[in-house]
Amino acid sequence: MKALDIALKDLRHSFTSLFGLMFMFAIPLLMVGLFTVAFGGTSTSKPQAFSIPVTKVVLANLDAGDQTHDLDPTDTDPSTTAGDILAHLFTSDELTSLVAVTTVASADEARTAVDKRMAEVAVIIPPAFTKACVEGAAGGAVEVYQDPTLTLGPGIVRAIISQSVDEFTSVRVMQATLTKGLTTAGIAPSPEKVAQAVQRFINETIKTQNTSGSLEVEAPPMKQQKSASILATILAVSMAGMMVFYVFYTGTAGAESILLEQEQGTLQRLFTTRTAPTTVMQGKMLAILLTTIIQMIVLMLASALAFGIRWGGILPIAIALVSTGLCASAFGIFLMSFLKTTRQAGVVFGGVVTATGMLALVSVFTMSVPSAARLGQQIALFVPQGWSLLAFRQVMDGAPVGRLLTSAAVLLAWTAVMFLIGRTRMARRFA
Amino acid sequence: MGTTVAVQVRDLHKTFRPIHAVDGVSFDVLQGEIFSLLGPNGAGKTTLISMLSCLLKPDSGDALVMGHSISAEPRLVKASIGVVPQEVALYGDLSARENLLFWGKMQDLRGIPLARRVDEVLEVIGLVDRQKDRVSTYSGGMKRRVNIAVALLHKPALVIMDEPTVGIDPQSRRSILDNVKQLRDQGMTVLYTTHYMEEAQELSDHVGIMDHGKLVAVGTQQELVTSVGELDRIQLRLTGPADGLLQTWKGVEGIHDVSSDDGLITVLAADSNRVLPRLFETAAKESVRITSVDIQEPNLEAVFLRLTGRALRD
Ligand SMILES: Nc1ncnc2c1ncn2[C@@H]1O[C@H](COP(=O)(O)OP(=O)(O)OP(=O)(O)O)[C@@H](O)[C@H]1O
Ligand SMILES: [Mg+2]
Repeated sequence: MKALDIALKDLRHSFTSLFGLMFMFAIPLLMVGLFTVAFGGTSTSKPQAFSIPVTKVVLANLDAGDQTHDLDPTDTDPSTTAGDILAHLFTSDELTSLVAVTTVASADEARTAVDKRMAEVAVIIPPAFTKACVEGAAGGAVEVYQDPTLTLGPGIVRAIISQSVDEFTSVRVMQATLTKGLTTAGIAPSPEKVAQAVQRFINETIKTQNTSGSLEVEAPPMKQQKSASILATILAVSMAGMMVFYVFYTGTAGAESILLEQEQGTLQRLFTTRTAPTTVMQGKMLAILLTTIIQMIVLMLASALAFGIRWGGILPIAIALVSTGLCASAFGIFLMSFLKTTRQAGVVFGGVVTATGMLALVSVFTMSVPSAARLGQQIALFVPQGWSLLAFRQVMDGAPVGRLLTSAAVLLAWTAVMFLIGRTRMARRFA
Repeated sequence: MGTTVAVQVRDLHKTFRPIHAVDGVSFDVLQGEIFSLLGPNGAGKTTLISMLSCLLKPDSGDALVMGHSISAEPRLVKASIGVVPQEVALYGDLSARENLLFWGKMQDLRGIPLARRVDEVLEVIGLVDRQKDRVSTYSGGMKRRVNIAVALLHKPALVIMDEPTVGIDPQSRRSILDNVKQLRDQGMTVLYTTHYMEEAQELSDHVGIMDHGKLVAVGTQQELVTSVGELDRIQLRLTGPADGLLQTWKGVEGIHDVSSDDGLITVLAADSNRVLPRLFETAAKESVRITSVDIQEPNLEAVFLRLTGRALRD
């Protein structure tokens, strides 16, 4: 109870100090904010900050179908030309996040829309498209007409088309192989029947694709997403790094309040009261621990809102949070036990806390450099901040609880050693 | 004044290499009295008091505070004392009331009794009006008063005050000295350190004089004065030369010495009031007129000077 009274008094002190608040909250967020700006992140408040912008597409489907192979007589569905299938694909639900399609009647209209910048890409499906797909006839290439300054949108559109055309082509190869095989086996198939079978196959394929949502938009779009997600990871790890760096600062600054109280005589006065010295120290410890935990919670919430950082599950977060808080507090008490006055504390902040914090941050700086990443991680593990950062990365990566607990155990070991040394040295100082 | 002993100090030693800050000090403080430790800067008062309030471990020796050993039972000692440190020890960012509430909790007071006690104490130190202001905005005298109030919250049997009036205005000092006397009237024992002779003189039942870590004398003021054989000093001016008269005075009972320096006659006597009539009598007989008389009764300053060869403030 008295320990809590002491802790509350300390908390009130640190949370009403502008300087303290700056260090605890403003600076770490600002650092990551600057980082985001430097990497061109937008101000969107969701992870989609790095998603691909929607490309405006005008589509002219001139596909005349294939009269020689009258398609499935039982099928009255008009989307039976290859052009229709492609058009259908462009307007499907899966692609609405990538492309916004407007349909026009002629190729000229489509090109004009791009010229007038009403759309970024025009897709013109030629009259002979089905023929080309089914029979390999010439003159059936889909035309992609684009704003020459753009690369991403047209790239996506091309990828969609090439995927479909590939599919059609493979179907054509299948048809040819099938016809040839049947002929060789002495069964002369009617070309119409084969064409019908192929067409049915295509229809079925398209239908299942649309419903199963397994449509894969390969190549260029995926690459973009991948680099976006790497950027998001770098951002998240940087935020974790900043948080850990400054939490250990807070632990040290919190422990500095012991020296401060000693200098203003209130610590000695506490020791003359009916409150046991261990209770006094517990109160101070509790204040530091609560301060670091509040700092981390605020930073995590703020960065989740501002930068869309996903920290992970509640339980893993709690494990990393508490073990980090304990370790940062013990770290502070350990360092302060070597000092006599708050004036010496400047050296500790500038030197030890910053240097050890930087060692941990090496793992952040090197994470995108494949050759150095491993070494960076190993260096970081020489300091408690490194283990703390590792724990938070494991939380964000959704690593198995067992591995997280190992990191937490190492942090607690650091805590125990530093706290015991710190407390013994402090106790020796005050009779 | 009771006769029970509140504090028994026995041969305390404390060295801060190479300084022997407290060098074999022994004395008793009786219950219900004000005991002053008088000594110049660096005499070892704060060091002694720190040991009595269990902040410093003595190198050797022990003390019993309200019957409990400072080295063996620090908890029991702390439970019975209230300490007013030499430097103001308060939280500047809290108000006087918040400070008192916090320190009261540290003394195991809670809830309504604590709030009532804080009200009482604020009344005593006269800071009811400013109780909600941050202590950092207070004057030196006001801070000192709060500094004292903190030590009184739990009504300790012994209040230890370390130079509580240093560097404050005469009004605040007056009110603090009155507070200290009130405490004694309420039955508390006060151990008071100061380097102001006047304060020791006004307050103390017993005085201990410290210098260079040693307690050079202890007793009531009267005892101290007589113990060093300090005499009243009577200074006179006469009309005309009076060598014969001075010879006569030297023979008067109760007069220890007579000297003359450039017309100013100094007479040392055990009791000036006894000898003065005889001085006038003998002067009249020899037709010498006494034109001025100045009596200096011996004080603690003089005692200190006698014991250490130095003035208290130098
Ligand atoms: N922590 C310490 N380390 C080293 N020397 C000390 C320490 N505390 C006191 N001293 C020395 O011990 C001697 C006695 O100091 P102390 O503070 O007890 O004197 P004091 O009588 O209280 O003086 P003042 O009237 O100035 O408060 C001084 O010479 C002082 O320098
Ligand atoms: Mg002192």
